[in-house]
Amino acid sequence: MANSVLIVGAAPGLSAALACLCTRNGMAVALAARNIKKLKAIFAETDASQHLCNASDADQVASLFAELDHTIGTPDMVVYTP
Amino acid sequence: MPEPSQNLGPHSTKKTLNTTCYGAFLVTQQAAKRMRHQGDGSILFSGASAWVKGFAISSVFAMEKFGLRGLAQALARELHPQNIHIWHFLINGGIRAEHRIERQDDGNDSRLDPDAIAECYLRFHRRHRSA
Repeated sequence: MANSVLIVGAAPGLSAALACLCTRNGMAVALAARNIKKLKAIFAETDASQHLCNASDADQVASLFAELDHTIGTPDMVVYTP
Repeated sequence: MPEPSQNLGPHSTKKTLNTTCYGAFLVTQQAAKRMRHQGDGSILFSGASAWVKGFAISSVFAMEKFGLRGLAQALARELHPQNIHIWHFLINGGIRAEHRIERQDDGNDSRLDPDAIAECYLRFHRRHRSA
């Protein structure tokens, strides 16, 4: 059952573990964070897409989902872990 | 970091609550709009024991987690009938993270295993709606 996941507030630790697990399960993975530099290690281990986004900004959140509409589509699973 | 309430900065407190609670609202609103159209989906929040108990010198964390729990409960009752499932996980402890000194594995099994929690998240996402 391959589908997709969006992790918002991604950081090393739980988000990294989840991104790797979902990748191993054939899911498309998108990671969004204010600081995506700290996610370098996750991107090295997965083919997750990276999205710069301040989740407390309505326009940035709307843009994030609009961007995903054109790439992975509607995420089947959204994880909010600020 | 835990801080006595008298030392909390109004702006940093507002910023934190904006990220945790208002940000969760913004993200779930966008996600649920699309999931309704798709016919299914899961939205998961990471909570903590502070979601049910406000601890001393932990005002901001308590506000964050209480707010997130309220949003999760309301959304669950609103969206479950539309096959959109909301999960709020009570993570009762610090998750191991090698990039943070205070969260590194000290060999005493004092930190939670992020891989095990990730497995749990994915398992809930894949649960049958009846379960």
